Amino acid sequence: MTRLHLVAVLHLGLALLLSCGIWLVLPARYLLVDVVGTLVALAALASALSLSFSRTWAVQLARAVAWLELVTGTLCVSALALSAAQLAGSYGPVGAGGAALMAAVALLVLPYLVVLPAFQLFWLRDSP
Amino acid sequence: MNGVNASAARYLLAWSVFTLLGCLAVHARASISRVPMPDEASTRWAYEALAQAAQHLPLTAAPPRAEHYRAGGAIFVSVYVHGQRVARHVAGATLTKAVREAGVAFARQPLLALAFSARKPADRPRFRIELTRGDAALVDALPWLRALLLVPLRDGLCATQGTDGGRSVCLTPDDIWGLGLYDRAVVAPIPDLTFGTDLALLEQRLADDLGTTRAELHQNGRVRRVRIEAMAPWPTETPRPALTREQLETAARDGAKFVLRHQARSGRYTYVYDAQHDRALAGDDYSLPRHGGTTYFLAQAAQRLAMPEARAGARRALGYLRASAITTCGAPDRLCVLQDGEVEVGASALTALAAAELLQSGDDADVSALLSGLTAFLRAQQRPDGELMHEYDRKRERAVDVQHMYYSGETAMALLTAYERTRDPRDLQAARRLMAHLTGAGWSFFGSRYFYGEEHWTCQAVGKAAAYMDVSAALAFCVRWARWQSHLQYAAGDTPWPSEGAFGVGPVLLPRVTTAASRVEASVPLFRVLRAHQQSAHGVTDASELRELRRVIERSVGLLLRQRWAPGPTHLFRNPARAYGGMPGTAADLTSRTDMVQHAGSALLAWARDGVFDAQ
Repeated sequence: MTRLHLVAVLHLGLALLLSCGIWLVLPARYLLVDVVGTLVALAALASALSLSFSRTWAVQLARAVAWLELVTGTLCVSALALSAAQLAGSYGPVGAGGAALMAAVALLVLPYLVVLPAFQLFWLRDSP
Repeated sequence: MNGVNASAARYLLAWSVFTLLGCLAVHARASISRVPMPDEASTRWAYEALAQAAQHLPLTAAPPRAEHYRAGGAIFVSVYVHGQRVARHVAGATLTKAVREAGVAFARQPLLALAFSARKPADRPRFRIELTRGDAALVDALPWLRALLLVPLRDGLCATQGTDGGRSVCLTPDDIWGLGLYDRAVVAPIPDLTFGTDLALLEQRLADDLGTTRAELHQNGRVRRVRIEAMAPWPTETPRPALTREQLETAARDGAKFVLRHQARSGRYTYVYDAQHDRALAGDDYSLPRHGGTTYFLAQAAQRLAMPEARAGARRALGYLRASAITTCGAPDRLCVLQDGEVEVGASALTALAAAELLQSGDDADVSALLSGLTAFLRAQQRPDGELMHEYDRKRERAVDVQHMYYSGETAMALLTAYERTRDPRDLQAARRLMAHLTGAGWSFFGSRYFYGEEHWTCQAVGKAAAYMDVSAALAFCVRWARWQSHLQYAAGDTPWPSEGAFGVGPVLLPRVTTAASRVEASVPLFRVLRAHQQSAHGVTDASELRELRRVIERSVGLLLRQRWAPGPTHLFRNPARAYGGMPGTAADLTSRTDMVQHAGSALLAWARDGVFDAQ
């Protein structure tokens, strides 16, 4: 499997994860999360397909999608961290339960929408 | 590294630095550095001095510490009559000066002086002194956090007109509490879960007080979050005394008296009592399962506390059901409870439980017949695998195989309690199969060791069943449940409120008192059985498990004792005597729903009976 195929598989996995997470797992509809998440999922799917069919513009699209994922993920993590900082400032320590909850959310977002896109950009560094 | 990699690396570095510094800055702006509260002697003097001043008596000398005490800002001295604020004096930061000035101001009001001579305690004015401890900017730049910007019961909101030295007005925590605006802004899709404070409503009120508009206030004024705390607050934060059996029984007795005080002659309870206005809250959501649960508590009180009036109340409550909700389901000897035309299996189970408990304190032919009919119906709802079907279609005369929260555990408890009285082996057999399902196959899936449902009825039933059957597997399940709960219990200082013993996953939500009560109800039978066994077969390898369980129970019992209305925040009550013994849903709640008193009362009675008391 080449690097480009690996990136395609990862993008396909992320597209499935986001789509299922948003439309099957999340218990409530929230426009911002639904729209942004679905757009990122569709972009990842498009990238996976274009890489699979070896389109000439596939690598450029994969880079753009990786950047989109990275920016979305980092914004999301920043918003969570700043919110946590604000609440901790106002309310005091978040307690063991609260800390575990926030860590769980960060663990869900960080690997898929920050670490993974960063690696994808690294793997795509030498591709034309 | 090519350009793409360098860009990504630079982006990630910049993002990390921005997020880290942003968090530090936001945290610093949101934190309030608080001046300490005055000591007890100063607090006592302040309230005594206000009472003396209002009655034109000479003031006693202030203790030295009171003379030197300075708050972090304005001091608010308020007078409440019948739960409403009737006067307020806002003074500077010096405590003694504020109290003396307020005393003079209140003494000038002839109506207040007249109120002080009222014969009924409920008619007399109540003073409340709130001190500013510090303030911070209202950081509302972050989206979605506006509803959580004020710490309920701790933060008030002040607005200043103009940019420099203009007129200021404040809404203190007591004001916001009295308006019922804490903990209500967001309604979560989970029963009874609301949270947050609607800042827009508060800002509008401040703007009205300043004679301006909200938009103008935002443009030309300043709104601050202000930490304001009352001298002699409720619930108290003082270290709790050692628990005694008498203390718990007194609290349970007060709860039973509260329920009886708010029961109609028909036997129907006041579902939600609004202490602020001394009235029943209107609504068509009367819950018959909770009616059954409350009757169970009265039956417990009748037996354990020797309260014949509680027995009479429980009989009235069962009479209310017989007259309005009991019918036959599938056979003449099968009785069930109807609510809004539908069969209510949960209400049927809890009514059976109440009837069985009532028979513990004396025979009653009507109640026996009711119990026999209800248990026959509940047994007929059982599936071959032990699980219960929680609905019944009266038209087609058949059970509907769906499950609702609590009902199976309630039924197991009802069948076992009935068996204690009737010795009908069918009840025991049905309970055994039901519990085997609930704690075995019914809770077996990947991740089932990391997540649990509401099992407080199930584990009470396990505790009761231990006398009649081998409950090893069920006991192991309940021990795991109790361990999991202990991780969710707050220790002192985990939240901004005195919430030690409550349960939750973060300080943002005001802890729910009933959650603590129901955990105690379930943990005490577990404690009793484990203590009797003291063996390793259920994972109890040493006494530390029992010690931990006892610690969890005692913390929660302490919370129940602190948060019950005895007397509660009386300055916001129209008639404190009628509210006495009630139990709010949260510390900010000025209402008491019947099941909240029931769960707390049953929990206190359970620990009074099976607990260990070092103080005695």
